[in-house]
Amino acid sequence: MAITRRSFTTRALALASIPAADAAQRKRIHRMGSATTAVYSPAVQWGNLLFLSGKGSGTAPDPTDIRSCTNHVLDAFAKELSNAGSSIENVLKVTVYLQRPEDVPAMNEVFAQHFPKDPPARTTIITRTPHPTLLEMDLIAGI
Amino acid sequence: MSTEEAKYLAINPNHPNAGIYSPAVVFGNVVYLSAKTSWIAPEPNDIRAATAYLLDQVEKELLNAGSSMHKVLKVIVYLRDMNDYTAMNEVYTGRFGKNAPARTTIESKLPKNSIVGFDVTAYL
Repeated sequence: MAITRRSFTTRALALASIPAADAAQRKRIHRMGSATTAVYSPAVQWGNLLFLSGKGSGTAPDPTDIRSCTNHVLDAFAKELSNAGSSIENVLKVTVYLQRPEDVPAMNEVFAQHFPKDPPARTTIITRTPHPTLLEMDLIAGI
Repeated sequence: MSTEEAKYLAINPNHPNAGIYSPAVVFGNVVYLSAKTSWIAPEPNDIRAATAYLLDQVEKELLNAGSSMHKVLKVIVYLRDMNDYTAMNEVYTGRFGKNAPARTTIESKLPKNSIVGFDVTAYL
């Protein structure tokens, strides 16, 4: 059954009390299609928690437009979340990595459209990522 | 409300920043490690040597907390210079067992001119 973030606290506390022996069984890797890499896994599930690796905006329809980049990355996460049995509604925490501080307002505008209700916790920093893109994000979600 | 108490652990309780942060914090079955950065490494400016040393330190910290490398869920890699990405990956790859953790890598200035840092979350 899909749970909402509102009920997640209860589930997370239940998870915190499971025996370590059970927890040892619980790390699961979700991959979409043939996307495999020895370096990192795109989605790691542990109990009701899902840790997603960073996604960059290099393959956005217009990688020079921050709105296009934001839509592209969040759409890609929606697919990854769905593949792992979660959804954008169950995102708990997002970290946003921007190359240019001036992109914050436009990124925020598009970001808000993807999280119309109960937006996740979020931190935004200005940095550079391995394959230089305007935007990268990573996130933690509940299942 | 959970009444569970967190545990604050360190392989070296007298580490230079004791009092500022704890190297490992355990809550429930999750352990959060503070970033290990390369100024503590014997060869702090060699990306391969520093990466190998820091991942060994991460492993010791995890084992001390009752976890291990194959129980790592998420890693954030901080590089002072993104040109070190490939060399870091060479040493990093395979270090966490067959199921690699989720990961994000960013370029960042780091304390004491460190060239690389690893921030790790794992379960017990």
